[in-house]
Amino acid sequence: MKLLIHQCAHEFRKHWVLVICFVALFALGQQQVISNSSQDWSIAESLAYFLNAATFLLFSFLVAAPFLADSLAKHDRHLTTRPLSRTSLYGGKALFIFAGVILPVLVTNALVSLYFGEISTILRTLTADWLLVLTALALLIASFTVHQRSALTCVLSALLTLFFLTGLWGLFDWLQRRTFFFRTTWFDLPPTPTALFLGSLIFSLGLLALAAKAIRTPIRWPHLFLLQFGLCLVTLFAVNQLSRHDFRPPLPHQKEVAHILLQSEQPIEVQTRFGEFVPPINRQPVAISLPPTIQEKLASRFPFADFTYFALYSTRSTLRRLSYLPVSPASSKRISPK
Amino acid sequence: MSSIIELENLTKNFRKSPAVNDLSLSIPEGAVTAFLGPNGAGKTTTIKCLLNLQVPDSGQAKILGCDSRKLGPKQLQRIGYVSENQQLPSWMNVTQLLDYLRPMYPDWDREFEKKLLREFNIPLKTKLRSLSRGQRMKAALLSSLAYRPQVVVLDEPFSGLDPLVRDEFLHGLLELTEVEGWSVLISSHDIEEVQRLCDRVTILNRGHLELNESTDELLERFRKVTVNFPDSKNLPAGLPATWSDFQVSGRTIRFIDHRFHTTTLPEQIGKHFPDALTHEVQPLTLREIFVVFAKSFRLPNNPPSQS
Repeated sequence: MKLLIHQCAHEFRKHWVLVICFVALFALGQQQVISNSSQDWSIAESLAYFLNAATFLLFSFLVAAPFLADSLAKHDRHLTTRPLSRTSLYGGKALFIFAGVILPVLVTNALVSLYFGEISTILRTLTADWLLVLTALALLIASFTVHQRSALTCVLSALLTLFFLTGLWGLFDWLQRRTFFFRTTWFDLPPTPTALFLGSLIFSLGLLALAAKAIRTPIRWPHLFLLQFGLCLVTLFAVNQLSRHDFRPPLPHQKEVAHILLQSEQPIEVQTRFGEFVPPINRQPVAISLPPTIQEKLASRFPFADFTYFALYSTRSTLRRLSYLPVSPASSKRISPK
Repeated sequence: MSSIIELENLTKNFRKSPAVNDLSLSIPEGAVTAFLGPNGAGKTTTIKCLLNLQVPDSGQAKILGCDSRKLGPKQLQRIGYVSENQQLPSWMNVTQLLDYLRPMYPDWDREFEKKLLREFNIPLKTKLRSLSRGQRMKAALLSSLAYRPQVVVLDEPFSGLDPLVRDEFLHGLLELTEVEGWSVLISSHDIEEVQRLCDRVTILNRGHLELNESTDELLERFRKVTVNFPDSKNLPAGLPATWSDFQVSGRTIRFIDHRFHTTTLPEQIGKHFPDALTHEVQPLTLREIFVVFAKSFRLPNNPPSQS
């Protein structure tokens, strides 16, 4: 166990810059604000895919790199780590991936789901589709490195893992469909001021950087706790920017309860259930970015400020693409309780 | 003296070409053994099989009494290995490398580490990728010695090192092996350097064992003999099989005697060269002996004489 933690700390020391980049990008992506300009929307839409791909690649790299670095097939590189047992070596790497990359995503998703008060939703996020694929990829790489002599066994085990995880994801999805829309709950979280959010983000990322730089071997627990605390803090602030989730009675054309996401007194997204969307009547473009006031100030001063839109939009839209669809303020008035 | 390394009928093929062929060998504990052979002799493959970096096709390799295929962390913590191609994590500096490695070895000796650092004089805060090849080799050696291994296996450790660094490297290793009484297996083409270290010599050719003998005995039994004649002389027939590498130039014949003995050589010279005026005997270096072997490997059906 001690060596496993030691290896995990080693991976943090090696990849801490990338971890911070990933977590910062992910945290920023959780922020959501309305933009009323259709031009912004179209640019955001087109670049969102590029940024999603970048986030995905960064995630993939962080998952794959530790395993590939100490592949058993690379004798001359693997020499250094030989006195570690394979369990400690690859367990430490897996722990790093979980603690540094997967856990922040899970914490965020789980906290989002907590607003809906459904355990099944949390479980579903634990097996989110892209996480599923990457977990399988990590297992594939791990099996290739550990059992390098049988490629067929590696591929089969990876396929089986993927099959199993897909089944698990399907089960949670089914549970969620069964239970999600029966709850009607009102959430009204005051949005965090942007300055506070940015300050917190910078503070927690600074903590991360300090902890990562301070890690020495043998591992000191305060450093590890500080590191994990920083990671979770980023995600906490990320989630705190979620504005409002609203569960309403169904609209006339909807058969079941609708799920509406509100911000600044305006419903911006409506969904009836997963995979069923509100008809796009009078749909207004919605982008995800900093609050409009800050946004305008930035845009007027810095020509590249618009890129913050895309960074903010990208990861958030990936995670919620299946769940929500933007609707116009006009249609939202019909369902507004006020 | 018990064996610390034992190979029994070790065979390893790469596709259809044999790298190690039915190799049996025993290396005693506490000895510094030079593992020599021409390119492609199977030295590195044998070492890799011995350290479970490659799986032999048949036969067995034992190190510290343990089958190489069952080597675990406990055994590996007692084996030091430095390879010519060893890749250290280049993003680390030496301090970070040592910090990383230290917990892996329960017997890591901090005082010894400091002593080695002083002797090797490696910059601690420079990234490994920025160090010279010699400094990286020193770092690799340091990280393989600081836990006081029972066996040290070195595969071409002098490759790419300048003479000064080689000298420092050798001096350090020589001192350590004498003081610590470690068993060392060293594979190298720098035979002159190795001669200063080794107690035993093992020579491989095409995966076969050609020689496994103590250095003193080997150096003792090989001699370069120069025989002088009054007139020009041709090489007679029926010379002993233990003589090789004949060179005839005018009134002189030179050859290598593989079984030199102070009493038998004059008798043999008298028998085969009755008209010889004088003869001179010179000792050979390990490098010269190796060259004699290497030449004989190229000749069909003419293996060199063994002990």
